[in-house]
Amino acid sequence: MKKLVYIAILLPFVLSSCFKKIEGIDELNTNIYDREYAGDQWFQIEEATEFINEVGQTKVRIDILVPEESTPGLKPSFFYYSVDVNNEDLGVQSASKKEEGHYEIELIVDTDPSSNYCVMLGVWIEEDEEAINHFSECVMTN
Amino acid sequence: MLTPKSILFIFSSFFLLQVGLAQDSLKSRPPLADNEGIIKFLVDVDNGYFEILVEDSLLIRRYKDTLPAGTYQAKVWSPGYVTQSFEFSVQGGKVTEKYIQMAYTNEKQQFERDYKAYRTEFHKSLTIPAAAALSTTLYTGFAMMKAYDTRKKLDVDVALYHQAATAKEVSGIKLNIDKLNKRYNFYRSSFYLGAGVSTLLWITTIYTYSKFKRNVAEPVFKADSPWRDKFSMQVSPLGCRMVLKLG
Repeated sequence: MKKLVYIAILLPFVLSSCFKKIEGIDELNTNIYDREYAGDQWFQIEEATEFINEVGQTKVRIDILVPEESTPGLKPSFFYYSVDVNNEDLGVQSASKKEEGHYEIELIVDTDPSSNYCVMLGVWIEEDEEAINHFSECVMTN
Repeated sequence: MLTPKSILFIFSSFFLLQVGLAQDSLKSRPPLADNEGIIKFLVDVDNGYFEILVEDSLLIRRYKDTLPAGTYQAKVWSPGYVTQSFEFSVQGGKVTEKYIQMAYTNEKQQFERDYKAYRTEFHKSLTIPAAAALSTTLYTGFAMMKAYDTRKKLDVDVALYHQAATAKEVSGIKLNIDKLNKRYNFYRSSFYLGAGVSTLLWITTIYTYSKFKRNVAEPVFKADSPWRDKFSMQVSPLGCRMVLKLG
C-alpha cells in the first residue's frame, strides 16, 4: 500500500515531462510572408557607392543583401519586393536566388545632395498585390 | 458447387437422421411389463437437484423411474427447500407425471438475503470503483494517444510554417497550428487530469476491496440431505451394494 502511495505521488512528476506545453507556438511570426511578422529586419544594406554610368551621369548604386536565414526554407527562384528610396516609389522589383540561398538586390538611383539614402523595402504579395513587412534603413554614400 | 440451399438440405437431412436414430434407440428399449409403469417427477426447484424417498426405503435421485404399479407415499427434498410428503400412483404400462410444488426453507431465505447484501457490498467495494477507474484509465489512454498524435501534426505544421513561401500558405498553416494547438492543450490537460483521477480511483478501489475482503465473508449455504445417513454405498472387490439403515 505504501508503495502505491509513493507511486501516486511521483506519477505527476513523471507524467509532467510527457506532454509539455509547446513554448512559442502562439508567437510563430518569423516568416517574412507572415502578415504578423515580428522578426528582425529581413535585409541588410551592404553599401552605397557613387558611379558614373555609360552615358556620363553620376548615379548611386545601393547593394542590399537578403540573407538566407531571413527567407523561408522553400526559397522561390525570384524574390519580389517593393522599394522606396528617399520617399520615391520605385515599384515592385525582383531578385533571383543565388546558389548559397540568399538574394542580392542592386538599386540604381539618382544622387541626392544630402548623400543620405533611406531605403524602405516590403515583401511583395503577388496574390493580394500589396507589400507587407516594411523596413527602412538609411545609408551614406562612401 | 455448394449453394446455400444445398447446404441447408444436407444439414436438415443430417438432423433428421439423428432424430431417427434417437427414436430407434427408444424403440429398442424393452417394453414395460403389465405390472409396472414409469413415473416422472416434475419437482419445482431452481437448483436442478432433488432426492425422493419412496416408502422410506427407495431413494431416487433422478426425475424418472420405473416402478411396480401401485400407490406410494414419498418425501421429496432439495437443498434449500422444505421436505414435502406426497403420494403418487403408478399405473401398469403407462407413464405418469407428478408435479410437486416446493417451498424455500427459512435458512435458504435468510441466505438469499445475506447473499444479496454480500453482492451489493461487493459491487460497492469493487465493481463500481473498478469500473470507474477503468473508464478513466481508458479515457486517459485515449487522451494520451490523441495528444501524441496532435503533437506530431503540430511539429509537422511548425516545420511547414518555416518553409512556406507565400502569404496564403502561411496564413493557412497558422490557422491550422492554432486549431491543433488548442486541441493539443485540451488532450494534454485531459491526460493529466485523467491520470490523476485514475490513480485516485485505483487507490480507492484497492482500499475498498481490501477492506471488503477483511470485513465481509461470503455467505455459504450448506444443506445436507435428511437421508444422508440412511443410505450408504459399500464398494469392495466383489462389487458394490447399497445399504439401508432401518430405524
